[in-house]
Amino acid sequence: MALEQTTVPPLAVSHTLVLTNKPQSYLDMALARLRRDPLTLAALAFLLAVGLLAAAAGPITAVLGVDPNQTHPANHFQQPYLIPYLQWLLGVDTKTAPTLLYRSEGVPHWLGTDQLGRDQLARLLYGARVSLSIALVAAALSVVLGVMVGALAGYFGGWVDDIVMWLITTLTTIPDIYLLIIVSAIFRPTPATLTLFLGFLGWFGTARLMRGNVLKVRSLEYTTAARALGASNIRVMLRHVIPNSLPIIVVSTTVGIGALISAESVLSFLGLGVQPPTATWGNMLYRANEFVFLRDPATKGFMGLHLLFGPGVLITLTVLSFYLIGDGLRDALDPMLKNKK
Amino acid sequence: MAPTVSTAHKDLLVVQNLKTYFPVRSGVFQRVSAWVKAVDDVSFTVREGETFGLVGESGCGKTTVSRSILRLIPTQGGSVFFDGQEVFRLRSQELKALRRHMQIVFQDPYSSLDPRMPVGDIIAESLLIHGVKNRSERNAAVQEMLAKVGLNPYHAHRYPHEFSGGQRQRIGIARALALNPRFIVCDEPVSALDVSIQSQILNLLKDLQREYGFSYLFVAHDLSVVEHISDRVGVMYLGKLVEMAPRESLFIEPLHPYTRALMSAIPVPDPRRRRERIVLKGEVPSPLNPPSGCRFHPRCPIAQEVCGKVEPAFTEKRPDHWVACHLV
Repeated sequence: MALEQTTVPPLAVSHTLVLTNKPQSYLDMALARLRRDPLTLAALAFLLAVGLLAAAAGPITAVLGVDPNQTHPANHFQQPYLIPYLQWLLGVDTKTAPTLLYRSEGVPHWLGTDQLGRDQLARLLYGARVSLSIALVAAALSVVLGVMVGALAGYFGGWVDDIVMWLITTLTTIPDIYLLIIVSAIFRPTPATLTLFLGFLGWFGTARLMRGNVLKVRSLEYTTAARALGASNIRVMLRHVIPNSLPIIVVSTTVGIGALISAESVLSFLGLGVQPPTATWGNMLYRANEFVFLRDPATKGFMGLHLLFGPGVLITLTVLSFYLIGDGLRDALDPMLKNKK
Repeated sequence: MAPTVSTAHKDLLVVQNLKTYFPVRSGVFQRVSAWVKAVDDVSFTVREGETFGLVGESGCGKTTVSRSILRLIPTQGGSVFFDGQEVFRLRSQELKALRRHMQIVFQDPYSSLDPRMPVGDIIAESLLIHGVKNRSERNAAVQEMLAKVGLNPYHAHRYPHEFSGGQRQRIGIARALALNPRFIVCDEPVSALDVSIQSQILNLLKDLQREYGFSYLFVAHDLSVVEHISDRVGVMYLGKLVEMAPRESLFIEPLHPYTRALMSAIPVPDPRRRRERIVLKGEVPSPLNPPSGCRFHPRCPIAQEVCGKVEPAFTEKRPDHWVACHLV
C-alpha cells in the first residue's frame, strides 16, 4: 500500500502530466495501433514487395535479359534454374545448371519457362501488374458506387430506398458468372473492360451493408444532435455517417480486392478473362492447369508442375494479405480499441 | 429560491395547438392506415429565463413535444413561435440561423455523442457549422465550454467512450452551450444517470442558467427532479396537457386527478408520515385509439358520465393554474 501511494502523483501534477501528452489525432492513433499488429504489418510488407516488384517489372526483366512474351519453342517447359543453381553453388550437382543454361542460350530462367518457352518470372511480374490493377481499380469503383448508393438509400429512406433495394435484389438474383459470360460475349475481355464489368457488378454487397449501417447510425441521437446544431444532410453524411461506417467500408474493400483477384482467375479459368498473350496470374494458372500431368517421356518427371506453383502461391498469399489488412485496419480505426492490446 | 410567479418575464417560446401524429403504414403499398396521435393539441409558453418542466409517464408524448418544437420531426399542425418568429414556417437558412438560439441536451449520454469524434470536435461542431472558421478561436471556445461544465482542458482530445455517463452528459451540455443559445430543451437529461450524479448535473444546469439567463424546457418523468428545477410545470397524459401551473401551486395543490395520483407516488423521506397513495387502475391506453371524451376517464378515480362524452377544455381555474378537467 505504501508503495502505491508513492507511485500515485497528486492531482495537480497528474494534470500537467496528461497535458504534456501530445494530443493524438485520429490518424496518429490508427498508426500507433497498426504498429503493434505484426500480422497486419507482415501482410502489408508482402503486398508492398509484390507491388514494388510488379512496378519494377521492366527494369528487372531487362537486367535478367528475359521478356514475358518472347517465345522459344525449343526451350519449352524448362525447369526452374534456381534449384540447380543453388546445387551448383553448393557443389552438390555441377552438371544440371550448366546444361540448363546452355539450353536457354545463356539466359537463366529462374522460375523456368512455360509451354512456349516464355520466362515464367517475367510473366509473373507483368501478370501481377494486370491482376493487381484490375482488382484495385475494380474494388475502388465498386466501393465508391456501393458506399454512395447505400448511404443515399439508407439516409433518405422512403422511395429512394425502395427503388435501390429493388434494383439490388433483382440484380443479385442473377448469378454474377452469367452476367459476366453475357458481358464477355458482347465485349472482348481486355484488362480495361474486365475492370469495368467487375467494378460495376461488385457494388451490390457493399451497398447493402452500407445501407444497413446507415439506417443504424441515422437512428442514433448524435445524428439528431448534429441536425439540431444546424448541420446539413451532406455534413451529417460526411462527418458522422461515413466515419461511423468506416469499419464496414474498409473490410468490404479489402475483402472485395481479394475476391476480385480470385474472380479474375476464375474468369480466366473459364476462358472469359484477359486473353493471351497478355499475362495475368489467373490465365497463367489456367494454362498451367492443362500441363499438370504432363511427364517427360525420358525421365518420367513432371514437366509443367512448376508453372502451377508461382501464380497459385501469389494469388493465395495476396488474397490472404488483403483479408488480414482489412481485419487489422478495422481494429486500428476503432477509437474504442485505442488502448487495448 | 426561484421567483414565485414569473409573469413579469416576456414569453420566449409559445406553443399553440401543437399536433404531432405518426403515420401507421400497412399493406403492400404502405398506405397510411392510421395515425398515432403522439401529441394532440398541446399549448404552453416558456418565458424568458425560466424553466418549464414537462412531466408525464413514458409514451405520453413529452419527448415528441420537445423534438417537434426544434423541428427535428415533422408535425401535423399547430404553430411554435420563438421570440415572435414562427418556427414551422422558416425556410432552411432561417431555420439554421434560429438553431443558434435553440439547443437540446439528450437523454442518453451514450448514443448522443459520436464515438468517432474527439470531444473537442464534438463541442466545436456547432461553431464550424455556424461559420467560426478560425481554428484557434474554436479551440478557445472549446476550452471555455469544458471549464464551464466542469471538465478539464485535456479532455478535448479524448473520445466519448473514455468518459463516465455523468461526464458524457456534461459534454452534451457543453455542445448545446457552445452557440450561446437562449433556449435549451433538456430531454430527460438525468434519467439515464445515477442518483448521485443526477444532482450534480441538475445543479450544473441551474448554475449555467443563473449565469447565462437562458430558458429551459425540461422534460422528465421524475417529479422530484422537476420540482427541484422548474419554475412552472406542465403535466402530460396521452398526448395532452392536463395541468399547467407554477411549481408551488402545482405541488401544494394539484387539481387534476392524474396529477394528484402522480404526486401521491413521490416517496417522502419520513417513515412516520403516512400519505394516501392513489393507485391508478389499468394501463395507459394506446395513443392509436385514445378514449373518447377526457382521455384519462377510464382510469380516473372520480370519473363521471360526462367525462366519457365531452372532452374537457383546458381552462385557467386559478390564477396561472390551468387544468383540463370537468370536475375541478
